[in-house]
Amino acid sequence: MSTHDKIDEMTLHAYVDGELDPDAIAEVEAWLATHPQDQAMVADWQRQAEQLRQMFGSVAREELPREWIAALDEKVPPPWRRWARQAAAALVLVAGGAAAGYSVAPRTSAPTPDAQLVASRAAGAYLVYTAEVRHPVEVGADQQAHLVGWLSKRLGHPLSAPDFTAIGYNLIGGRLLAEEDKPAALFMYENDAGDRVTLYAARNPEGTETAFHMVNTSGTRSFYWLDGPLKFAITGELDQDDLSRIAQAAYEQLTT
Amino acid sequence: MSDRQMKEALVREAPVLRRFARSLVGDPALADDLVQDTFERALTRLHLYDARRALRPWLFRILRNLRISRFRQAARNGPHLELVEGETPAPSGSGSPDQGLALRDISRALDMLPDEQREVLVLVALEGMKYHQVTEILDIPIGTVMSRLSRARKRLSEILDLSGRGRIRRVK
Repeated sequence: MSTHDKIDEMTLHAYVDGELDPDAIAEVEAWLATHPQDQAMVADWQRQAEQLRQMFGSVAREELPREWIAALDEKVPPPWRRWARQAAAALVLVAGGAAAGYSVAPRTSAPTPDAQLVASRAAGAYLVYTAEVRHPVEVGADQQAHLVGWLSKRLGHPLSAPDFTAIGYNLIGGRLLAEEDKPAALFMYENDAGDRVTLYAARNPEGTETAFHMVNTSGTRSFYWLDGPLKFAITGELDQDDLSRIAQAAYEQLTT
Repeated sequence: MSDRQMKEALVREAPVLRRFARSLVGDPALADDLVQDTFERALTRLHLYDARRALRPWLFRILRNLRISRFRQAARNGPHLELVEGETPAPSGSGSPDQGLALRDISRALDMLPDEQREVLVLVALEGMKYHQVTEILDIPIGTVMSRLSRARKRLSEILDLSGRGRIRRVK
């Protein structure tokens, strides 16, 4: 083994990724033993890989949708599109946790990437504004009528602030947001433990309707749906069941 | 390989395809749609599969290309493509709270990687694909695989380093 040969970065990647033969592995390990900076870098990459495997590992352990198995068991090519929709519907039920008690009817297929944007924006607003202790909202719940009237006017469509007191969440207030060059509204709620959830609302220019969808973004969780003239997202850091209960209450109160 | 054999193989590969799809696309419904489209295409293009070669990279390639073409379609309908790219699942593993935070950080960090770096990193580090397999899946030379991998890891380290120091929490 030649200790004077410099081990380059590509060889270190190959080492981490199991691409080297035993001789080369020995050479790299001897190098790392005397080069702490490279050693730290390698350890860093190994930790990244481990975290990725932890983060997505559970996905591979989820039970497969029964429709998939059924489709793959059949002799004739199945009508996949239809199954895709059913799978999306099934997901809605799974996302709801207690499937039996779930009354929200999914109405169309999986959302377009564009529809998903509402969840990204809602998650962004959630992260920025719920972190505020002193100024989480522009207009407080003590002026609820004014707040709702103001935001309705800015959105150009009647809004309401749903009531979640039955689930333990009280309205703190709301604020006006910008979605690109259009106004959007944010209502914020809080429970006694200080957990906050937000309802994001904006115009839906396409006028489309979608099912209820759940997405996890940057550590937050959102349920979102498009409902004709408006689109909504409920966002929080709660577990799926708790958040879905709030989202369902919102859906029921907002959809007439 | 017969149609029946492929269907059996697809049932076996489905969990891994799901994981791969989820690491590329945040929304579980969209990810599962991609997997189903991959099934469909694998069956209709069965005659193109060389049974002497490993199946998984072939399926990964189909899934990844389907995703690209779908996002191209979406791009024609609206300008907001890059934001959708920024969604990945939150940590789902159990563990200590510290571990949960670390996973949340890596989830955010992955969101911040350019797409071409993200897919190389995920194929190598999460799915354990060999470099030569990645060149085939993505149709790029080995040098490009290596440079993207290198940049992805560097970028991820930088982001994680930053987020470790300045994590967003409730501010007084």
